Amino acid sequence: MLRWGLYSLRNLWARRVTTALIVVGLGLVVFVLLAVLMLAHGLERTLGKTGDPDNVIILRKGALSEIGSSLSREDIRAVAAQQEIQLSADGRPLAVAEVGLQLTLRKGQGGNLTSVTLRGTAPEALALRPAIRLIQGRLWKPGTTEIVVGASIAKQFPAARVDRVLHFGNRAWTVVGVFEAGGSGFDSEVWGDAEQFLATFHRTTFSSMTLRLAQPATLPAFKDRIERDPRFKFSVKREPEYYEGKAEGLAKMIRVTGLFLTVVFSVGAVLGATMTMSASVAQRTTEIGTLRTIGFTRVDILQAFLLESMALGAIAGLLGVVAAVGLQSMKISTMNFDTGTELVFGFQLSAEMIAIALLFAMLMSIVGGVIPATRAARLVIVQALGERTA
Amino acid sequence: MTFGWLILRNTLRRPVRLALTVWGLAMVVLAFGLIRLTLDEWQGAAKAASKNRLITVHSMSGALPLPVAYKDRIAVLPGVRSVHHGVEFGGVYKDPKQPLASFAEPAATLLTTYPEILLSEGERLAFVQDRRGCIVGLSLAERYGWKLGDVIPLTGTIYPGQWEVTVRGIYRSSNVMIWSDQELFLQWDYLNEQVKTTQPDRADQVSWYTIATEETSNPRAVALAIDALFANSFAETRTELEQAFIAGWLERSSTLLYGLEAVSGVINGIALLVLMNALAMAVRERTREYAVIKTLGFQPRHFCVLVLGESLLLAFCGGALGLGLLLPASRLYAQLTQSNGYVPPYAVSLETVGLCLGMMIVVAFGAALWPVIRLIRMTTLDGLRHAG
Repeated sequence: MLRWGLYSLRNLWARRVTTALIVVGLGLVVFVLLAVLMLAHGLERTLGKTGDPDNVIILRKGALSEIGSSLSREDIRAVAAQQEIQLSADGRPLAVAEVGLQLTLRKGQGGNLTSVTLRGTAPEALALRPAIRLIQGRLWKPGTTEIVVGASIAKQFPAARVDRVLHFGNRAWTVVGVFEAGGSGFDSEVWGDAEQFLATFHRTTFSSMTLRLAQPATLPAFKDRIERDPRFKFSVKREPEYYEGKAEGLAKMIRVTGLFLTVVFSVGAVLGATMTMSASVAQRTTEIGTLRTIGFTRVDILQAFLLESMALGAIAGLLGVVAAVGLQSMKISTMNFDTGTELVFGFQLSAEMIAIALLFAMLMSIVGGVIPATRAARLVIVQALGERTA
Repeated sequence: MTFGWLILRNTLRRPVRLALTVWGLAMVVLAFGLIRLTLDEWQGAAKAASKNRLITVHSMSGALPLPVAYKDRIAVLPGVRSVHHGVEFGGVYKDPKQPLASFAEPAATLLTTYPEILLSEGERLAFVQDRRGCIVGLSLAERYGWKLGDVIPLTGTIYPGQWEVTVRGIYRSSNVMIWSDQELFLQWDYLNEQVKTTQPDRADQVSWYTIATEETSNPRAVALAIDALFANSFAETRTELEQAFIAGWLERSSTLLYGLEAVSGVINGIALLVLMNALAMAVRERTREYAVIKTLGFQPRHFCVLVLGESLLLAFCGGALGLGLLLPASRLYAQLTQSNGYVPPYAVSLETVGLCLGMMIVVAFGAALWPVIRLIRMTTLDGLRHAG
């Protein structure tokens, strides 16, 4: 069997230019396929990491997002008084009322306008989300127009670096710190004092409340009780679950568009591979005849050519994966259609995707090789030996 | 035997390979064409937008409302022909996951501000006169089988509650690139009246103003005048030409569009590889023949014509087949890429056809280059010795 493998590989080497062309062609297809999958996955991971799994978020029932949700101050007080909520060291409930807003900002000098998510909150928000840490400066002082920005925002918007002043709502906002949230959606947000934001945006209601339960296991009972309480019209969700759903549209668009295109042009590459393998068979007709004469069976011939074609696929697959690994360091900043605000996310590779890519490469090469290999196996010895190769 | 005949005979020599190459190229052209359609669909609106319309939104965020009282203050500015305003309604019909693209706007100014809406005179009047009337785009009406006079029950997402509107007109769009015919418009007055009783703090607010300017005025100056009027007020405005406004929104997704363009580059690469391979094989197989005709006195330019001719012929056939498939494939693609019930009206433009063919010509030249150089460099002796 090893001999056969060698035979196939050496055939590929003997026609290395053609082999290289077809490998690069299939490799490009694998690369694009991976890029699409990685981007959609990176987007979902970024949002899925947003928020702490032990936290619970409360919104108005029926609201699709924080923008459309409103909780009054009475609502906030009533929720904060629930006994299931964990207490902080100084005996206060670990619960923060937040307001989610959008702010139009210019990206860089003379850059384009874009929207960023503005989160009016309280310093306890950081106690609630231990994954977030300040990497520069300090937190805002409650009751002032100081703000802190996520790491991605600080990178994308030169106007939002520490000590810079942003102007909106006829007020000046000083950036006093930069926080890092482990590459989650919070990294693309601007945080400040909730009361200041409410006043500036002429709002009277908060949009959500995030809290931590003393016993995470009590969530189902807590959710049930709050959602059924006739005094409230709330929906209760685990925090990451809420954020995860906020890029469904964009992730779907990337996947559908990307995969449809990949499938279409992969057919082109497969036909290219078939053509090469057919030529390879045609060229070696006499050789095949000789092999058959000295006792190799049709199955052997079929195997040899299929193996040759699968080797093409395997090399192409590996090439595509290697190129895709290089993509992982890239970050993309674009508008999330579902929220209308800017979001920074990267290409994220997973073992599952590598498997899919390699399988896809093998599948392409098998589909491309099966017809020529069958033709080779079905050659009649006498004819094969008699035929002159052009 | 003429050159053309020789090229044709060469191309047709191996029908299986010919078919594989042409189909392979066709699929690649098809993918390239679909990307162009996607980009056109995104960018077309900005190109086709009117130069005489301005859009005014809240300067802090497009999600914030402006008071309806601004209307009269803008209307008296010099150079302003009419002021129109609107809000997104986001009504749900049947499928709660997909709110209709629906907007509440004043009927009279809607029809004068947007000549893109084509409506018969009777429908026009019926819509303007019925407070609870609405107009729907032809494609949307066809999707749900709506006829004139039908009452559509909508569930509000942005404005909670149950709403009922009567279809008073089914409009066509003069240009689907800029004005979709998959939308529903109801009367802003009706909405505002209801909101006054249910959510009084949201009444008398609009999301955007559309200002039609006089032909003779300078739209940019009008835009500056509008923003100056509301500077330092509690709701400052940002006014842009409609074109700039749409382009700005597009720019927010530009990274994705660049990505698509990169993919179309990769696609060119694949086409090049497929064609190069086909030519390389053909030329290698015919090495001895080429050596023979070289001894007969064929010059390098003849080889150029021979190989390039074959390359162009293959590329052209592939391109033509791919373009032929583009129309049916774009229908399927549109169905797959629909979002929120909006089916993108991918239109194959002459520009797309030109781009696809142009790409194939470039690919044909690129693919022919190496085989031609090899043939020209080849000595007759080596060629004759070549074992096919």
